[in-house]
Amino acid sequence: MPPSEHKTERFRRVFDVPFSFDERPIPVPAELRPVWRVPMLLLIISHCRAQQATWQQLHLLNWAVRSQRSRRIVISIIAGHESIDRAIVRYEPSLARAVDLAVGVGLAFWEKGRALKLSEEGKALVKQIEEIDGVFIEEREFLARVGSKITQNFVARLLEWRLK
Amino acid sequence: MSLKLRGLRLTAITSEGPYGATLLFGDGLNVLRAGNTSGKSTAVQAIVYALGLEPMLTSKYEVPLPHAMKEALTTEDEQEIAVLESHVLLEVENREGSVVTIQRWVKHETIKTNLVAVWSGALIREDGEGIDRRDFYVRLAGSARSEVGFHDWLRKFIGWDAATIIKNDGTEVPLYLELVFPLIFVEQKHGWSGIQAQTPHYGGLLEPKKRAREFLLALDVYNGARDRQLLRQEQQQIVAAWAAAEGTFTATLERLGVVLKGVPQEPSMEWPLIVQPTLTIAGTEGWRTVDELIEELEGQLRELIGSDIPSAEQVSGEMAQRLAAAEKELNLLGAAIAQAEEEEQFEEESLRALDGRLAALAEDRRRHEDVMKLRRLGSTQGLRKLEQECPTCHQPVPEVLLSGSEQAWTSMSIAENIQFIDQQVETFRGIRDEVVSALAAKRVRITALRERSGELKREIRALKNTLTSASDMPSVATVRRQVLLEERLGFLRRLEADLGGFLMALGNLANRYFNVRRALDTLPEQGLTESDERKLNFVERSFTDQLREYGFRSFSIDLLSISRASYLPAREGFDLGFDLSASDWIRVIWAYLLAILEVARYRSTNHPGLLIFDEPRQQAAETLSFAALLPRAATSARFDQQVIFATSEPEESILEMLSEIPHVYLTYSGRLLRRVPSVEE
Repeated sequence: MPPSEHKTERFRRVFDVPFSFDERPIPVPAELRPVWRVPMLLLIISHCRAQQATWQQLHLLNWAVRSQRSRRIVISIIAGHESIDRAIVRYEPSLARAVDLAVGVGLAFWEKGRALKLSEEGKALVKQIEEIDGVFIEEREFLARVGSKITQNFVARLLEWRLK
Repeated sequence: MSLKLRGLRLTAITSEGPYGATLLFGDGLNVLRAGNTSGKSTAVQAIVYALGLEPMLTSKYEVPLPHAMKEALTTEDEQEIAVLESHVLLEVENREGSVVTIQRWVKHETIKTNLVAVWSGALIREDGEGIDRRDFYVRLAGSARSEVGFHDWLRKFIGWDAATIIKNDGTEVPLYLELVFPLIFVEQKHGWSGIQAQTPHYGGLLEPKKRAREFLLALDVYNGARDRQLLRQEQQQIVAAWAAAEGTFTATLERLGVVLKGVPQEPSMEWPLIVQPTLTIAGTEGWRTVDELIEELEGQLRELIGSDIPSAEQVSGEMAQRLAAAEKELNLLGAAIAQAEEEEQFEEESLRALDGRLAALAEDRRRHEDVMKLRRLGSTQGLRKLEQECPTCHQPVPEVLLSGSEQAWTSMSIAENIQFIDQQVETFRGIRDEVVSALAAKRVRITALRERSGELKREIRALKNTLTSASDMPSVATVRRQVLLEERLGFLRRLEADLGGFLMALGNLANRYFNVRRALDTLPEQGLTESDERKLNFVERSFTDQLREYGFRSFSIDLLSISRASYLPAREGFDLGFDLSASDWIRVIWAYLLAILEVARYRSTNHPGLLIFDEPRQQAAETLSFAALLPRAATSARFDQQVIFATSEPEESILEMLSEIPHVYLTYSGRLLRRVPSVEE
């Protein structure tokens, strides 16, 4: 039986007055929606050096791009205004799912199991997005400023600190 | 009539002596006849030049007169001689009978072309010995408005001082003469291509051509619109002044820990306000009005003054009691302040949290919108795949990137989600607004409490002083108390005075506001008045009658009317356009301008009673005979009006056309400019 009826049934056993549950849709933040997350991921990859990214780079940039605060911190760190320990990178499980999805529908692929690259279709989608004015504005601005500077070296340094 | 031309004289000083021409005009129809290339247009252009209206003829800063007046002229025996100096004289008369002569130079060693001299006498028809000369300027920025501007003087001379036009930004400026004169003067080359064809283009003006027609016909409708515009502007100014005064006063009070109640942020129509505004101050026990406090303190002061200042010994008992009370109050106050500060901090944190929340919501909303844009504008397969089935594992692509095998709920669609976010934003904004005002109130209260705390501390010090001082010294505490009371009273009374001043200022504004609103309400509905209707009816009748007389042929005259929206001739409600032949356009322009001249005979308008037509170059095809048009123009003589018509029609045929009608005939053979300086009838 579908979830809603199941619930109704269970509660019916507890209360003996007639009532029912109505299923209402639940809001979901955009960053958990594949339709937003996967294009975002592709944009991240397209701004990395040589248009490819390791897991570490992906995690860092994925975290950085999330909010105004995190974007500002990363920009400050790169400019040398802030120390590296200001960035508390959070690992996100949803990133792994997003990557799996991107690969599954054929928009990206793993090269030598190390670096994630864009497929032809992925590149086409990125090009489409960049041609539209007014989408992903903040994110693209940030990536343009910062993307290529997030080298593997840089990421290693940043994450190393955490382990120390 | 408010502008009549009496005479025109062109003078060119050449290497061979003076050359020139003089034309004397009379009432009614004046026909100036001369061969095609012999300068009849020069005469007409000279009139325009003398009046400073050359923007009608040219957009460049040049003198619109031919070579003959500027460089070199050709004599009777075909010799070219150099022109050393030249000028134009135009003798005019106005409604009051005042006669002046306008002089403007075309070529001169020192005098610039933007100088226009006005002699207060008739230099052409009479001798003009010892008359005054005043100098003015044209075509300098602002010369239409400054004292030395020629057009300013000309405006007054004609009686057009009140002529104004509204700009696109709502301000009112004087109406430029070169916007009105295309209805009075039609020039040969371009003037016949349409009604008011030679109106120069100035930016930022509200419908200048229509305004010109409205002004010339003196239609009331402009005044209504203008008045409404000015009133609205004043209303805006009052609202702004009120908000500024209220804002400044409230801010000043807040810094003193005082709150003003009962004054609206926008002007009120009723004054004085039904509920008297009050000032309140926060005290230990809560908010008290300034009035109450003043009463209380005055009572205390009276008591104090009534009795002599006691010696320290006499008051020690009382002092001790009072000291205990003050210290207790200070304690309570301390606790109250501490709590108030805690609350303030709490509100500040709430505010920070709310702002953070709102920022996150804004970001989420933007991202949802991005998805909508992507869907709309980006249509690659790639994107669509994310919403269907995964080609690799053949499972439906999850709507949400969370782990867990099954999604036990339905998620909102993008559009629904955006709506949801908007609702959240509205709610949180509402909460934020409340927090902001709560925070403001708390801050005001803290200021007041701190002040009271300071007062108490001073009083306690004084009391302690008294209690430990020599016994026969006057009680410092009592003295201090009196001073303190007086200070506090002074402060409160100043507040009241300031409030009084503030309310008076608002009262003035409220008064003005009331008057402006009432004036706006009593303004008649926008639109033509009865008098306007009658004038336009007359113009319509005269216009259509004339067209019948002139043989208008393009279509049935019954289809013509004068539009009540544009005051222009219209065919079944539409502006006239390509459906007219060239010669019919000439008839239309003549008839329209003459109709306006005619209505001026019977109704009060702003028309100067003058029309100047420079005959159009005959286009190919149809030749238009002015024979039918001239008699109508000749009627102007009876009404003290003038119509000047320049033509190159052969003398025989023009004299035949003029044989039955009253007219003034001016002609010359050969060139206009010659050694003998007068051309007579």
